[in-house]
Amino acid sequence: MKRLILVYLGLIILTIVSAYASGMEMDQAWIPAGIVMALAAFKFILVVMEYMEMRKAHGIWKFSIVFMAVIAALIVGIFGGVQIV
Amino acid sequence: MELTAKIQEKKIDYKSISSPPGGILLWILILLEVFTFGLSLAGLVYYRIQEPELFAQSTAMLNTYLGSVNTVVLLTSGFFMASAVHSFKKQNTGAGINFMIATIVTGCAFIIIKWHEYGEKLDVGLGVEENMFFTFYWLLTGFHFIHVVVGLAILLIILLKVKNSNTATKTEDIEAGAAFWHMCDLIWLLLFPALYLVF
Repeated sequence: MKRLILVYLGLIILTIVSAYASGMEMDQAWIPAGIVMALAAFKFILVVMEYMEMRKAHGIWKFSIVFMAVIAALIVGIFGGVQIV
Repeated sequence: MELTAKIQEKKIDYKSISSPPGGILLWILILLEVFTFGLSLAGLVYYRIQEPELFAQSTAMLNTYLGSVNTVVLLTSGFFMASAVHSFKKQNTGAGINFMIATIVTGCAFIIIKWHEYGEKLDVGLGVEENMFFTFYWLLTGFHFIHVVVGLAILLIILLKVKNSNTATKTEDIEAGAAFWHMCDLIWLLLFPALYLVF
């Protein structure tokens, strides 16, 4: 139970940090976008491993779901923040 | 209230490839759902590259505050559901039921906030045909909204079954319901930053 509470607090803190990071003004617009999506992927993995207890599951399940989350976050983080002139 | 509901616990080997927590069929569904939403996000990014100005203006019209509140609400709901599963596994049925009720209440709060946000958009004429960004916004959040409603219905059915003292509920059923509910969390964790924060 203590572990669940710690994970929950971590998720809330990461949400606040990503809201802050999204408001950062930078010359390289992909940096805040990358930070926001990296945090989103990390939160995703936390929910999968801790709330859904996938840390106990077979490696193929862990790899499949984490792989998809990372790819989705990478696509949005890299191409979503690119400045087009 | 006397709780006589029976939670049947069977020892499951989660390390086996055929029995992930929540069940193999549900995990195939979860993978397909994440893949589909991921592909839609790739489509969203593709159109953003075509019309960056339009996407920047459209994102600015979204209510980031309500989106953030809804993220916290859904994460809280996920915490309650994980706690419910934990309690049921410890044979603490009373606490499990209370956590499930808290999950459903916070899930309903998400629905109400989202409904309010949809109303705000429609009031100013930002419908599904406004532009490509809003087409994605309505489709992605709309499908997610439907998933949350279905998830609430599943949790309600499980809750009624657990509360019914004449039936025995398997922990696998509760885990499967919880996995579906957490899937709603997962999808939102990708949708929220992509739609509200990044562009």
